[in-house]
Amino acid sequence: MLGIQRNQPVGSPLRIVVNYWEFRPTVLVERLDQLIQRGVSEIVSFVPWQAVEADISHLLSKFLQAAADRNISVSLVVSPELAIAYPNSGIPRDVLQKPECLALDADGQPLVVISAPNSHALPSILSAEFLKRHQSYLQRVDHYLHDAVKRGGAHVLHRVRLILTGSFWKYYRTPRHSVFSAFDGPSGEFTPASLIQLRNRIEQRFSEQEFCEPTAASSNRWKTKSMEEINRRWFMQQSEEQFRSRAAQFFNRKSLSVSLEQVELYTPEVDPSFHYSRTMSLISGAKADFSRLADLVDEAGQRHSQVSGDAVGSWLHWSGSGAFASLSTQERQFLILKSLLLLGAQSGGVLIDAEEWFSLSESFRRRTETLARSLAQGEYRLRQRACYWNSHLWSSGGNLWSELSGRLGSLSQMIASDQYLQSEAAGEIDLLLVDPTVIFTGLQLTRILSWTRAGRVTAIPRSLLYTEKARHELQRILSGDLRTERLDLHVGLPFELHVMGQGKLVVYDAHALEKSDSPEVARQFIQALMGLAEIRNPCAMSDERLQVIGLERQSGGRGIFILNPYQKVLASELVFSNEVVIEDLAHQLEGASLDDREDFKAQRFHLEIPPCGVLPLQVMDARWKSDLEQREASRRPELPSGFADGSNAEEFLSDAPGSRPWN
Amino acid sequence: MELNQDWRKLQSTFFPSIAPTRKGAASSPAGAVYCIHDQDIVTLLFAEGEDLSDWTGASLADVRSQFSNRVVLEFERKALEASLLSSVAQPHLEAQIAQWREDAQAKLVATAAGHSVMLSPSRKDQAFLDQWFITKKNFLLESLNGSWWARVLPSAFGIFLRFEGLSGGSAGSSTKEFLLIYRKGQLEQFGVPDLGFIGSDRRKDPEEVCKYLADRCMVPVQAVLLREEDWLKWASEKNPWSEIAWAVQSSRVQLVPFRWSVVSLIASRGLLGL
Repeated sequence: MLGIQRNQPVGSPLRIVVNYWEFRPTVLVERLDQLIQRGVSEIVSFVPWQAVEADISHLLSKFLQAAADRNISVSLVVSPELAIAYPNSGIPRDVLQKPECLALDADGQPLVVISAPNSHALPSILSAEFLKRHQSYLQRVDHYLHDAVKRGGAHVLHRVRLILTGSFWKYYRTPRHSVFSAFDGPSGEFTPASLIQLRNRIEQRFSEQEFCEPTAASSNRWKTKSMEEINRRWFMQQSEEQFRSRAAQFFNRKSLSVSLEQVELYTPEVDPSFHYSRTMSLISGAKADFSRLADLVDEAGQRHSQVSGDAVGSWLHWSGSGAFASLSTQERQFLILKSLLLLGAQSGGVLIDAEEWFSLSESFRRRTETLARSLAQGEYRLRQRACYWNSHLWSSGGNLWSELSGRLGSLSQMIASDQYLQSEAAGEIDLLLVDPTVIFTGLQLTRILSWTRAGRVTAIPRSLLYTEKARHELQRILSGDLRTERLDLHVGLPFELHVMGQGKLVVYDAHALEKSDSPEVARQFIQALMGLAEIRNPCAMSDERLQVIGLERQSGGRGIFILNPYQKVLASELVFSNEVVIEDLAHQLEGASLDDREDFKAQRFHLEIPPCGVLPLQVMDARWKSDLEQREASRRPELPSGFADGSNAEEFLSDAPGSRPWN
Repeated sequence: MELNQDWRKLQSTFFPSIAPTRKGAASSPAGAVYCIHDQDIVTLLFAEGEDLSDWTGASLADVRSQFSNRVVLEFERKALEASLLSSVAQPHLEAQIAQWREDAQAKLVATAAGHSVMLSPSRKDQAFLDQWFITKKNFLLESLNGSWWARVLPSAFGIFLRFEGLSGGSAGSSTKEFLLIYRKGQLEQFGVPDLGFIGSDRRKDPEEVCKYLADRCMVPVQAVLLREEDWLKWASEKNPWSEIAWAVQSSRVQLVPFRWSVVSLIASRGLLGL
């Protein structure tokens, strides 16, 4: 059962959602006692705006007090979020009735979201009325926190954590565009008020000294019509961060000793790309589209938010009243495991509705909790190798990002701030690719170059989006002033390669990329970059329908998880670049004794993965280990040359141990 | 505090089985294909249990041709979006889905065996439509919402359901309760009622509960006491009213307060089939 270990480290990547406002006070206490009996020690509750405004019986305070009395840790999500099972997702009805408070898409239409118990319009976070009312919501939350202390003493808040999220920003996308690919098409909101704010912010930003060089008139080039989409992306990214910071500042200033956590919270069930599919399933009475939800988990695992330069954990939420609940047990288990592996292994995790969680079998829950504990203790982690810097996290990254993420999957990530490169997590990144819509300042370029010199590969666009200072700095490099070695190449795209210290800088032709708009051009270019950064997938499946998630193990070796998102058995070969030893990881995670363990040594393994199955394997790979020890050299195992055409298929073929799926 | 619209409890109470029961269920290979298109270009192709995402961007003609052995139900994107937008005024998702279906059916084009037909929500086409739109129907909600009952029932009323003899024994008690509040012929509130403000003795007495709920919600409330096993059986049937009528007569189902008008409504459905 979840949280059964009372000494479980704080911050399990698997947390259950128990909304305090779904219960009357007497039942709430009963419910908490039941959770205790089931071993739960940590819960998450959404705090809907409207529930707080209508909380005349001080239920929030009573809930916190009751939880504190039972030593239950409580995380309160105090940012507006969707799919929380409250009417209008908790947004006050009167806010949604004001046209000026509604978010509009690029076509000028309100954005509608299906979030049981009803479907409603999305509000515009940029509207003055919304922000004013939101401020009053924060004050009320603060009031109830004080009230809880008054009723039960300061200890009531010792195990309380306030969670701030990116709110609705990630959902400001048009379904008709995102149905092609989740983040395609124009993102952000398009209300007249937001346009005015955009203009003001553009004026403010480009009046800064760096944008006015060499003459004051130079700033005009940043404000032209052709810059509109680029500036909009920047504006949306900045506005989101500002919204987060305001809420954080409020609680830092006002509240008692409550810890505050910034996270990204994403609910695939309400993503715009799922909107039409959900509509059709509701109209037809059919169950939801599992494969779309499974794909959205990948998107969530790859987009990394930052707050003030710090990476924040990404959490994925499976609600009890949306599409998730309509899926079969097997499908739900698959989605839980996939999201836990992808997000839990990188400081995030999964939130799941309590009723949904306890409706699953005890054996599945036990295994999943074991995995969650291993992730919480840092035993397994996902080491990402490539990073894509986009000007807006919730916008498309174009062909380059599609190709990069398609090739590397969970080994690649998208970020929206260069400050991330200063974080500890970025130390392990081997390749940075910068989107052509990013505007470079001198400071940013210097930062990137210094990061690159430490043995990484960075690809930046040759474009007009450099300030004079940044352009001058880049010019010095390109002209060889910094004593770099230079090569002119043309692989997919024309680009220059500069060797800088131990690193390599690639300057690609953004204009040629825009002109070609060809996936083939992007494919060749990304392949070249991966070659430069010496990034290879550690293993591959002969059947590309299967997904592989590879986690590094602290105590040595790797955990390889093979996922079959299809409704039929898939047989495939798992191929490594050299001979490895594999064991059944499920056995180990379940605490089987060493005597029971059985291992197999080979380069290729024949596997059969059942429908919606997740097969965990432990891989001991001496070559991989030595590669890790020589990280700076960035040498990675390569697949055998004959793998692509199957010419080496019989070599070292072995059946995998057990082939026992986890769900 | 209580949740006035507890969607999850509504689903689990009134639609305990989500398995589609109609002929040609969508999950079978012969099931219908639902297509949203914009000027004859496919925006989304949907069929239960099938991944048809590759069809986005294809032409409608190609879809008709490829799925000529199946029924393809075509929805015009702009009309569908207009319906979604106008439905936000509805009180909850059940009513909203009903509106989407109604709006969609008014403009629906279906192709069967390669032939295109414009359907109208007339009685003749309704049978066809019912085949491809699994309307999750519950005998009680259907009678309260869409039958002649609506004309004879008061403009505002509540139905308090108490299920006894729970198999799972959830929440540490052996009863489960649910409250439906109708106003102006529409289901407005649904969920587990908050009875925390009345004492445990009064709470056991359905008459007291009715009085309390009637005062609080300002509507007359009819309590119905029944066994959970009976409810689960009836909820999966299309027309269990005759069984219910007999169950009322044999006191297996209790009405509190006992109103002859309510009994006659049940009898007219169950025994006369009205």
